[in-house]
Amino acid sequence: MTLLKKPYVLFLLLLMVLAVGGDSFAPNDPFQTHIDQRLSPPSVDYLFGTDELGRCMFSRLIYSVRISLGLAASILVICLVTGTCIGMVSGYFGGLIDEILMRATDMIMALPSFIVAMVLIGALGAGLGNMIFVFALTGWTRYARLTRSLVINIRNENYVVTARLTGLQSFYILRKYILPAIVRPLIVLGTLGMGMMILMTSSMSFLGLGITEPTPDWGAMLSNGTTYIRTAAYLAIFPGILICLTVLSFNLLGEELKGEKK
Amino acid sequence: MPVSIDEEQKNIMKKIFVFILTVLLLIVIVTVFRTNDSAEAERDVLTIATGRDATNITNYSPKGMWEPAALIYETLVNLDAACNPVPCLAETWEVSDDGRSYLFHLRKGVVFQDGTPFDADAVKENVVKLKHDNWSTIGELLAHVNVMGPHTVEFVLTRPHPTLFTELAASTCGIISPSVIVPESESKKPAMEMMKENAGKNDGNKMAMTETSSTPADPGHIVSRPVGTGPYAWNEDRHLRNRCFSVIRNDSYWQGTPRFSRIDWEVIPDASARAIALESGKVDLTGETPNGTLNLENIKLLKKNETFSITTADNWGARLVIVNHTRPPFDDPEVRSALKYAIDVSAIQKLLGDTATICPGPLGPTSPLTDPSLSLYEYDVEKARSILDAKDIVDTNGDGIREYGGKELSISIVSGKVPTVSVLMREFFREIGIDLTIDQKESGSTFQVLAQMQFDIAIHNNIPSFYLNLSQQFSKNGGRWSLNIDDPDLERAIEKYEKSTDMETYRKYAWEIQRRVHELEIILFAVNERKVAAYRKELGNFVFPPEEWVGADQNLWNMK
Amino acid sequence: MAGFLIRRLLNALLVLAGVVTLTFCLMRFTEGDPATIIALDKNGSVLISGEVIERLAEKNGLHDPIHIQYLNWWRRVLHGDLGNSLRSDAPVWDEITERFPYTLQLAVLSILITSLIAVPLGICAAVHRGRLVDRITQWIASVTVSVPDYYLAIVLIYALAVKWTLLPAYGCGTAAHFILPLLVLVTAKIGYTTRIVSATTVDLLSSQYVAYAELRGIPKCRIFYVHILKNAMIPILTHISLQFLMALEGSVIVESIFAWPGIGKCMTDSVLGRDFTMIQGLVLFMAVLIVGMNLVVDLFYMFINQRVQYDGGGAKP
Repeated sequence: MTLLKKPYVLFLLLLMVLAVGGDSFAPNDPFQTHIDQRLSPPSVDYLFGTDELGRCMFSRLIYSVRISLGLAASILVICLVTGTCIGMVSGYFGGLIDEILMRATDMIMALPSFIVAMVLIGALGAGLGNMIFVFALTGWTRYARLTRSLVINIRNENYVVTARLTGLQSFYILRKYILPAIVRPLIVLGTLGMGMMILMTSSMSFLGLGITEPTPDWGAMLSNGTTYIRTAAYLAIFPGILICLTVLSFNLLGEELKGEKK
Repeated sequence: MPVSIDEEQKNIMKKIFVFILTVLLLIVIVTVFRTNDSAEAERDVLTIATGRDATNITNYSPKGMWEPAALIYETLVNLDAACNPVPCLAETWEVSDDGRSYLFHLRKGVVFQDGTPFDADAVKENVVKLKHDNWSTIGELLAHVNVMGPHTVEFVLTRPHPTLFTELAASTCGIISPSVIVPESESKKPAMEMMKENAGKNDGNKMAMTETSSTPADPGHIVSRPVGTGPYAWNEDRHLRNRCFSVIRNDSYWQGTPRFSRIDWEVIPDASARAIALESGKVDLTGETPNGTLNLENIKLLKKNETFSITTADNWGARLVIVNHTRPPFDDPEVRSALKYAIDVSAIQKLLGDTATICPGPLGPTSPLTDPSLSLYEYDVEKARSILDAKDIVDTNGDGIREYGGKELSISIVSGKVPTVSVLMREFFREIGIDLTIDQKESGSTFQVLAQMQFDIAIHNNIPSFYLNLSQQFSKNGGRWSLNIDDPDLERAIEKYEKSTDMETYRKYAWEIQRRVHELEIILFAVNERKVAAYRKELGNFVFPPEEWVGADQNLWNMK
Repeated sequence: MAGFLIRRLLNALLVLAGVVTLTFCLMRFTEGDPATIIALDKNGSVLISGEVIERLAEKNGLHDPIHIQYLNWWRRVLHGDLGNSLRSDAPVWDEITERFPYTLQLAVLSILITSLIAVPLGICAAVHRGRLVDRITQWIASVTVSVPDYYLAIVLIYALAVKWTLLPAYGCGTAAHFILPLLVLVTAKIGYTTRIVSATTVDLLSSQYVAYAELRGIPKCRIFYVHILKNAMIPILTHISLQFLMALEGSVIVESIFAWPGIGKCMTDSVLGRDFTMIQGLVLFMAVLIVGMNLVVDLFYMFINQRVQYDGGGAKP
């Protein structure tokens, strides 16, 4: 409950609400263009001004929460699930399976993930599905490694050994005995990873390789705003602040959870 | 358990911090002073901001070399503002009655920058050796080049070609010193031979065309150094890849002494940064070539600024926004016209501002072949809706999107990297109950999509600019960029257009083609990208040549 | 130990082989015709014709069957010939060697400055754990980690180059051009580095041998310099060497924004321009660099700390 008093937790909750509620909170249609009011500065009607097509920036920002956050979260979930499964199998069974899986993990970890994602996006084309795919492709490794080391630590705990001796199936043991024991550190790493994932995906959109028009996305909006930085700097400033606050909140939450664990 | 540290250590820490701060401060001070020094420019030198390097290292042919090419190389003829040929390296010329032989009397006493004399042999060597390089478009037409005398050369064409002069005036057809046209290195030969083998396997008339024009044992030549007859010579010493390049005054230039002793180009990839560089006095001119364009916001700011002048000009060709007329329901011209009524062209014009002119046909307002009778449609949403209603394309399930053939009418637009126009069109079509999704593609894949007609609406990449070649896009046999229009009237007009020998008939059929295409309602609108040059006022007046392919910078040498 | 070495080497080679194969496959099976892209890039959209495109495709061997292209690629890689850039026609290797020094300059300078600030700051924070210095450092670290580097870059360009025109925003040449990219790179990394330094030092401060040394009555000053600093240097140096790899990755964004002519900018341009050979060359080059660095770091660990056993320990924890 103490967590709820922290400002960053409240901010994240607000983001969640915006992500779910989306357009119903937006004062204007995020897609409606008003060419006569293009690039108008912040006003009562358009709280954060309008972009080069006269679309309400405030509404677009609210709408983009769902897109940007949803993208990062779905990549993260895929990474966590894949990573945990691979890590558990690898750590629990050991031997040849472990060897093969960890070689693969090493190989992927040796590559610079952002550059790999960039090259893949360049080849496959931009878009939501491709974004999820390329980031998930390299993102699972850190969770696999963590899971593996955690599993190795508790594999020989008494209760696991007992369960094994009573002839329970490996799958059952993994699910009932091992998973609950390792879920907490994974959540901590996941929370910290969320901030990183937002940074990576928005960087990709910033380079023009991520989410594309007309869907609003933080990185793409910021990148678009840089064109008008001399006449309408607010176009780049507001999405940037939103990214910073979100990443900061996730990082602080992660740190907090990590601290509690100890 | 925290360990306490005595005062001594705290002091050391402080000292380290102070030291680091001082070092950083010093670095900042030193560098800021450095920049102030470099801001002081020489008056005799013109500095231009552009977006990319002038050349690729291996080949210095004027093709693909933008800015300096128009200053280093000169062409046989030039164009005046009305697009009539005027003498340049050729003083006079005679055209035979059948329009197939062009006899050029070359200017005497002209030498290349390396001292090689300019004569009929030099011209022939250019055309013959670089047939596949910068002369490739003319190479298709040429039967032979005959040297008739030391300063007389004859071009014999396979068929009459009314716009030969415009093509000869393009900066790509600049005459290069024969001493620097060298055979391509031996290592590349196998690739060339492989090409010959594979060429036969490939389909299409275009390959057949290549075969007829290329001799079997063509070694291929490249230009090893840029040497021409122009007012400025390439300055290799000041060329830093992707950072800057430069030309120096050719003191023995036949038209007099050029105004600037040197012209430098700074490579600044970002449009806003180019504008800032101009404002801060780092460069004197920018925006004058397609490599160094300015964006709308910066043009606005520069216009407000008293110190700078801005010159704008239209281009000849325009980028087409087309409907795929082979996909239902748009196989019906009336349905296509509904789309045209739904587009508020003035809004698009407002969005693009000074950077483009919206026009109805493939040619911009200033080209010599533009049909003046064509006009864009009035924005009329009601009319668009009623056309669709009449065609029984209506919204039956009340979701705001019309249905056609039992499915929601959802189409896509193939758009380039900056999709603002597409976003606007999405809104226009939403008004009339058509859902438009934006398909952002790399320019390379766009070509494929266009060639195979796999789109609903596309912003076409091909601009029938300098060559004013209307058959390429509108004829069914136009090759890669054909819009596959199946219309006998149009095909007949194109045939006559292609075969016309004089400018009058050429223009007449060009107009007919434009009118016919307009009636077919395939072009929603066309975007003529304008040229915008911004420069310091005291430089004088920058004048654009009639078309950018004539050489955007060629007027620089005697800029008033 | 020899076994460990051999396994690391084999692993490295495996990674490299994977990289060669993957990059090759991916770029060939994408939509978009490379020859058209090259033609477009070289001639603009006006001069382009089917014939020009065919010629370019032939010249670059893009019409060969895919397996031949693949074998050719391997043969060339083994001969150290990465081919010519599809766009500029310049040999890829020349392009990389020409551009890499620029990236290296930024990377080395940024790591140097980061270390100069982060190491004292981290140690200071660790020594004064829980006090104001520590908390401020923690906060700075949290904030700098959360600010995207491209956003910082844009804000800096807006403030220093557009509003006040103090510094050049783009390109390189004078020393002034270094300031903005360095500022971004250093800020992006300083929080993380400070944290690592401080965490390492805290661990060492609370370790048993420090307590033991204190009990023995060794002066605190000596404990600090001899025992703590010396031991802290190992993980800190390792971390700094790893930062080099992060700098390589970070260079993509920073160089793109500041138009820095390094390999990061080259990477972005090539991906956007679909310059296959260039991308292959760059990825391969970076992979060799990274794998090499990982090997060096592993060896470094091994020699410093003989207890480290082979655990497949990669670059990152």
